[in-house]
Amino acid sequence: MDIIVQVLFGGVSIGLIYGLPALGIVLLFNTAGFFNLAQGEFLALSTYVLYQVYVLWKIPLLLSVVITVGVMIAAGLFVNLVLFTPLRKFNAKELYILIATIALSIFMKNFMRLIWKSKPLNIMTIFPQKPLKLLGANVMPSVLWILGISLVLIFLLYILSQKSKLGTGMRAASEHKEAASLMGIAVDKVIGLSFAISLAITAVAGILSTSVLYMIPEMGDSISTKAFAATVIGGFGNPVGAIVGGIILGVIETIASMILPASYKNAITFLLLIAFLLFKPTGIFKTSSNKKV
Amino acid sequence: MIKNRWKNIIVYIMLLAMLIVPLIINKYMVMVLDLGLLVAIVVLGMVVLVGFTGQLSLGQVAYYAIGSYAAGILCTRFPISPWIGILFAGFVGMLFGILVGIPAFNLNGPFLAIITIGFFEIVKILLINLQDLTGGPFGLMGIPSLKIGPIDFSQPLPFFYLVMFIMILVIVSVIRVRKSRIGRAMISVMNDEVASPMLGVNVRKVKLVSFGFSAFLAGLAGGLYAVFTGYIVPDAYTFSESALYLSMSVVSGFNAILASVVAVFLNMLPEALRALKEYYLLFFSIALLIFVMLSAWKQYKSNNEN
Repeated sequence: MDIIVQVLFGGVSIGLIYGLPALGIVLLFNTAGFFNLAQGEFLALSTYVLYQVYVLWKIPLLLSVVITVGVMIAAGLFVNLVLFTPLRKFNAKELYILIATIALSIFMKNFMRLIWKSKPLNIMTIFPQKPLKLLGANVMPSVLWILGISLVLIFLLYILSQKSKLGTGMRAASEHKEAASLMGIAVDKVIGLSFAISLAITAVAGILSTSVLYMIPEMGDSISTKAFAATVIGGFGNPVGAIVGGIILGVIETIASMILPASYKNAITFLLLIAFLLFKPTGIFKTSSNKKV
Repeated sequence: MIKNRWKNIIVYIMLLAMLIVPLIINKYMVMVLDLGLLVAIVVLGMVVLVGFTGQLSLGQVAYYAIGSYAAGILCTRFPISPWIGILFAGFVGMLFGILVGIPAFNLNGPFLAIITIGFFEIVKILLINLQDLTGGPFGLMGIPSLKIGPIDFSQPLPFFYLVMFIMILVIVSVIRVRKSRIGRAMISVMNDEVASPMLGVNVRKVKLVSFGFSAFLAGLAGGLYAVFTGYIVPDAYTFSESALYLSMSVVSGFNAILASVVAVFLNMLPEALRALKEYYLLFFSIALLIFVMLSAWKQYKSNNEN
């Protein structure tokens, strides 16, 4: 019993760390219409920014978190302004935008390697280290923090998307850009803001991830692919699906690493992903929008 | 026509120069050049897959790795000539290419790219973990080299001429593919997958052919790499290699000759700018971003003028 509880808590918390960037990818895809292959690198960058601010500059934790999220939002707005807005204006082909995101990810990876070097770093101390007894199982406090903060964030995003003007604009832009702009929605602004929100979510995931993952400049690769796997498993384009997909992935990974040698963990992720793409490409939650020819 | 003739003459002069260059540079640089030619063969496959058929692959290095290990395992376990080994490498690569091509029947763009990344990751995990077959993290050693009589092709100079010869064959075949019926079918699949069947194009066949063709070339290059260096390790095959192959084919504008020149040149660059080696990828990615931006802008401008 206690082992089940332990696996569930561990799996769900690591799953949320995949699910949040997945949510960011989906939000961006829905409004801006492109796939950000550099999402994992943004997560990695946020962990390094936190490391820089909190560990090296010794700024209090709460302020460091605020600074990290702020820096990521600024980075998102900047990248959107100099890279993706012009590309969208030029009606660039999907392939070109995808390659731009790949180039961006190569750039960010090497940038991080340049500044923070390749040695693995960690800040596991941002949450208390003493395990808690919960339903007979030992649960790390970091796991509870990840669960709590993620849930609050998801709830806030839900309110934002359903109740605010910006959320309505974002949903309208994802339905039909031209019509939305004719209705007086500043589509460019909405896309810029959704980029910022997408990166803010990713930054929160990055900050939470520092309590369970080691940081290396290449960590973005595995986060990116797992976030994509989460979006596909949950049903691409569906924000709820992205989170659920991430959680499923996290739990399966945790179980798999108990049965199989740890090195096969990633293979399980990809086999699951390929199986979903082959046999159930719509994922668990279908999106309502029709496929365009 | 005249412009075309000049272009051809320039290409011939460049090829001639390429044949003489290895005689005047040092042995190490010849080896770098050799590896550049191998990359060029892989990139030529990408020209067909991405440039003609429009199928995005971010896992091309997987076929390269598969080719290396196919040749390596075959030639170290059995007393089989490495010449057969490199062909075997190509065909094993092709087999896996076709396998990955099957999901491409109804997936495209980013989803296909993810499948190819996933395939690469699985291949890499297997290379590291199937220790009995692949030697695990320590790799395979003592792969026999190609030989004809007294010529040993594990020396950089003879290997250069061999690979150059193969690369020119590949360039010619890529150009011929483009002009053939299947090549036109590939272009039609890229432009409109839905309308193609109405023109009598068998989309599935075209996709499988392009995946098979590009994976054959990657496998062949991988096999050549294995018999050239005689030693292969899983760490040599990384995701950024795949990204580089894709970028090179895009930068060349999917032109076969240009693609091979770009591949060789970009492979030499970090050696020539040794001081910048650490920052090479940083600059390369910025250059790639600028290139993507410029070509999108050019297209936009030409669309607006018409």
